[in-house]
Amino acid sequence: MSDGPILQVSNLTTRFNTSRGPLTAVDDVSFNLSRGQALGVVGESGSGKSVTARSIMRLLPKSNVETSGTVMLDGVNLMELSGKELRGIWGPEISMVFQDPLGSLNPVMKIGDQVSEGMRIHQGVKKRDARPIVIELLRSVGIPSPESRIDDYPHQLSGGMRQRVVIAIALACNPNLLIADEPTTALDVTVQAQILDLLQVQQKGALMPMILITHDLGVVAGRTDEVIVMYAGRIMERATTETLFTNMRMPYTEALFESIPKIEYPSHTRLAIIPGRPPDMVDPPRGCKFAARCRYVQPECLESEPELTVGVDDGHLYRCFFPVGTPEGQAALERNIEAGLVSEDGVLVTVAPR
Amino acid sequence: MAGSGSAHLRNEHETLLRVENMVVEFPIGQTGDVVHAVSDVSLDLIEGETLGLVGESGCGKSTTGKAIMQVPRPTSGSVQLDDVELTTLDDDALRETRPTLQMIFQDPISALNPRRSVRDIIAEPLVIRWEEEEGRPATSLWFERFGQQLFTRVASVVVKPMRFVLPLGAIAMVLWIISEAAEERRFEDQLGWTQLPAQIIGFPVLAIGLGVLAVLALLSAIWLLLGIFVPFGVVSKVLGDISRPVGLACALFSAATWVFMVWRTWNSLTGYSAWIVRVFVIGFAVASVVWFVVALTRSSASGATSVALALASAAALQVFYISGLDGVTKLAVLIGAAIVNLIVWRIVKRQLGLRRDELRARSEPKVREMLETVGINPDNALDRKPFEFSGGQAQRLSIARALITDPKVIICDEPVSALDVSVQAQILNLLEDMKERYGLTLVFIAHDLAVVKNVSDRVAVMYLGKLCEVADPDDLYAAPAHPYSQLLLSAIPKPDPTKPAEETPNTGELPSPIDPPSGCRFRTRCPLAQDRCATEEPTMREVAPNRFVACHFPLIGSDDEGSATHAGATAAGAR
Amino acid sequence: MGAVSNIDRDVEPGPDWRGDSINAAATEPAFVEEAKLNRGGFGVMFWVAVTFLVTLTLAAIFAEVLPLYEFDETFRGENRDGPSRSHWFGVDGGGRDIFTRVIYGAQISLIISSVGAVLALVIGGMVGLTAGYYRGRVDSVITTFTDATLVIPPLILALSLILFLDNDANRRILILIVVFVLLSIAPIGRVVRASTLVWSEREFVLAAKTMGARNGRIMFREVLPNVAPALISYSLIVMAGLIVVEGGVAFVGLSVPPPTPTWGDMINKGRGDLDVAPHITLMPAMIMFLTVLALNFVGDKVQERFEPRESVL
Repeated sequence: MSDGPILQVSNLTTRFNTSRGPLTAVDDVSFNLSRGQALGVVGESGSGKSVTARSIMRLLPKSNVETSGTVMLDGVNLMELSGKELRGIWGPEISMVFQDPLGSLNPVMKIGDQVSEGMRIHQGVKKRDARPIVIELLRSVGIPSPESRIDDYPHQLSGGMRQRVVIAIALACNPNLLIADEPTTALDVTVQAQILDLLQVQQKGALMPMILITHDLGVVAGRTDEVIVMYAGRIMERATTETLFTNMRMPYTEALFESIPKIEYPSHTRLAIIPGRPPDMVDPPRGCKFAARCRYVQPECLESEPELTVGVDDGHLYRCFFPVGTPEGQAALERNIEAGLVSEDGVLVTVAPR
Repeated sequence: MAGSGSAHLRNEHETLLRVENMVVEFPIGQTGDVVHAVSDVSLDLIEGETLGLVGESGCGKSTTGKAIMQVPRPTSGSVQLDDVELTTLDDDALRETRPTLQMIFQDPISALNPRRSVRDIIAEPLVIRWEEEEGRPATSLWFERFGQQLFTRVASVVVKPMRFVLPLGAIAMVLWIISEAAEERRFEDQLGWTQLPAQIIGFPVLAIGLGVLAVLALLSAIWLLLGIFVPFGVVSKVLGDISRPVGLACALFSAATWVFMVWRTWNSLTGYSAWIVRVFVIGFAVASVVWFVVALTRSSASGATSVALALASAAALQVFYISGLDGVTKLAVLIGAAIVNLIVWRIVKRQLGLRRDELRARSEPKVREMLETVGINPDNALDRKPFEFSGGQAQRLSIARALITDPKVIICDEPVSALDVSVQAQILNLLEDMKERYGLTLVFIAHDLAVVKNVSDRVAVMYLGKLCEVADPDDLYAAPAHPYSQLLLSAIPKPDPTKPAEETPNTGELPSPIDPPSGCRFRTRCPLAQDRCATEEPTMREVAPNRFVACHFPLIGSDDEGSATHAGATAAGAR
Repeated sequence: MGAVSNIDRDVEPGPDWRGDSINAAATEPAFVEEAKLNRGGFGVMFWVAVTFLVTLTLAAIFAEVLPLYEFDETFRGENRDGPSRSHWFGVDGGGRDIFTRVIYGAQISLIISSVGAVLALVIGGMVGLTAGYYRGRVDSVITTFTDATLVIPPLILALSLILFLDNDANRRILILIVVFVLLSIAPIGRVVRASTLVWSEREFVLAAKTMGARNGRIMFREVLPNVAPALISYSLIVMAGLIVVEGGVAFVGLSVPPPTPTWGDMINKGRGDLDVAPHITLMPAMIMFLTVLALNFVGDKVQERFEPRESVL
């Protein structure tokens, strides 16, 4: 195993053939992930974050879908593997935790058997021998009295417990990469914290790289090393977590951050909204995909799409002509306020025409 | 926190909505287990206030919201809206209150009927109200009004006895069949070897099976027959609107058919059991004729089903008749019948559609106004179906629908939980705008404390069917009084990477609502729990100005005995 | 304050490739679902089946006008002859042209199955709708009764009804239809009930209640339009079943009496000559088989088409 990044995604693009035409769900996405690193992927529905994860895992339907680009996991290009080879890597090399724990578990199979399934298939472990391993695994994910719960069925467990079992299944074969797609969205907030703690502990303990996909900025803060913000299938901004929150450059990231009601704000604070809707990816607009909803928008934003540029702080990527916190950005905002496009307190008033 | 009590309720005369000691329980399964979804919750709302009801899944907040709406009615407790007690109202009176109290639901797309257009969906509350208030189309003709009154009376009179008539009719039919069989009529020779098995197996099975079948057949027959003869009345009326002689002829024809059928049946019956059947048939015939006469005078806007049934039966009859013909006659009659059917269908459809079109036109201005208010372009949206909209827009449609009857109180059951973050902000702002513009009073139910805090004037925290704490949102955040509130606040992920995510204490699992913990329901997860919490249920009391908690050892103020309590949570739990 | 309204007026509603809702029930974007399901149109086989059914129906309706023989016309010298140029399906034991009789037999089969299916759907549908909507005790009572009808042996029932009533052809058709309908109420009711249970859980039904709609209105205006599409395709499958049942009833001699030809009757009568003249049984059997197959196929395809459209919601 080399010292370099364990996961290298380069120019990943996924296109769907829909009844209205080809839809580009993921557009030229590239990023790297090193051992022990936790990457957060933040975006709303339709940003392409889930499709990216599934493209990496090769979990998309075969018909009507085209994927291009390369995904190098530990030197192997996942895009070139056959079905049989893929089945060999799912589990031992790469595994995924999904959003809905009830849907991820087989209702008629005991949880112990589900956890040991991967081991039995990939590592040839016998059911009897697997039992103590499974008990330890269940204990390490925080399930109390695992010796008795190992024979329970999913419906006998609560939502938080089920998600722990799903995590145990994902970790059972010591994968080289763990992808968690909105693992806590369907759970209560108190359980959410516990599950996120668990993931963090496991990940740091095994130095396992993890991709944490979520729509909640609060979830990535403090639990990830680097964050990617996606919008309309593209990477909009990439930075270390601390830099992202303290020095965000993309207007989208800023707008997203401001539209979340914070518990610290006094009640009845008017929320800053992002007006309009994400663009139609079958017939996307020219220029920057966020331009129509951006309060920093200028004419060139509607004409051509900015490239990902590297900022002054190392590794901070963003694609904007008038980034937040720069003199150009500030000037753009002031021009817009003057032109009446943006109100005094910085809220976009009319959506720019396409 | 086993929050019983209503110390936090305010003066009766000030409150618009008042819930006292509400209990909602559901039996589940066959074992007699009961889910204690809501146990003794009291809430109130002053006009213009937003009450935030917050808690995790299973705490009963949604159930509380639905119980306030009386769908279903709470197991016990009182819900007063504007001094009217909702729990004791009968269905019709409850229907009258609906325009005042509306609800918005969590899943925006699921809350709209996928098969109806936006226009119909949003106009629905208005249309329902008009149909209830005006009944069927207003009639000025005396015999039509008489017919309507007669119908209502007949309906209430006929339905009750039917419960007795049906089983009697069933028994009558069974007896009849058995008596016929006993007289050994009509055994055909061609049966041959099957005769004996038919006797041995058949008749016992018949007796039992046909008894059951008879009831079923009767139910279907009633429905069908009423379906045939009532709509013949309706169709007659409909045709009569176009041309009186035609309508009258149709009515007479169907009356004659019915009489003919009764006469034939009468004549073909023999044996002692025949009388039972005759009584039944006569009674049934009389009821049907009455019904028919009434239907003739009563124009039915929603007679579509009956008419469809009538036309279907007419089609079946035609099929039989035509199948008995031959050659060229058959072809000619077939084509003629097809043409006549099409004409009748078009006429009927147009007549029935008149009422619907009228209601639509009447409601359109208000529907347009509502759509514009919530920020949807009516010209583009009116004829679309719900699946063509995004989640945020669908929620706006739901809001428009809820507002169209000018309600005073709206219960919002997790209205933004299924929406993306940026859209949440849009909808929350929209709700605030609507509240201001229409002077609404809201109950806002959610699991996200940050959202609730932003929207509410007063926050109530629930856990496992009980209230924990009621307070002003800013006060609640600054200094939570209940250990559960504190747990909720600490678990919220904060978008600030400089603060490392604190290790949230592993407080264990939510207990089951079927068998909740004794005393304070939160004690199994509470770091401050002591023996008293297991034996004695805490009641709501005021621990600071306008701060109400149900806890023996709240985090502010003092415990019941007056001695100062911990000022903050300690990790050492007494569990 | 008007910021929200202004802005959304500029954004037109339209087919949304994902929508902006985090829906725990639908974590797959809509276009992923579509990619899985959208595999072209109905397919060749579907249209072949439809053509076959339409041709058969037209032939049956216009049987008297078509250049066929009479169905009881005998050809003495050609008893039991196999298929030939003048007798496409051959001649049966009584010397009658099989092709003609098959076409006339189609009349009976199609009438019984279509009328029976429609009535069974209407009645079974109402029963199922009521049971599924009201649940609780109403559901238990209705289900008990309908399940009780499942116990009744169909042949015995047909037998006993025929015993007590007259014995002419049209009456017999009516009896058969009544029997079929009564016995189909339970299965159809069950399917409708299941569908109603699912749809009445949806929030728009709850919304209708909170608006003050009466139960009848909710059942017919809100729930039924959503339950109905699946039923339409199911009815075709029911029709196919009824055709087969008629064949079974004919074996016991209870179908429409001669001289009217029915498929089941023809199959039954030809049994004795299977070794010498198999075409007497096989021809009507083949047509029956093809009809049932076509109906099932069309029903399946239509069902497939209707289902996904709901889930893309």
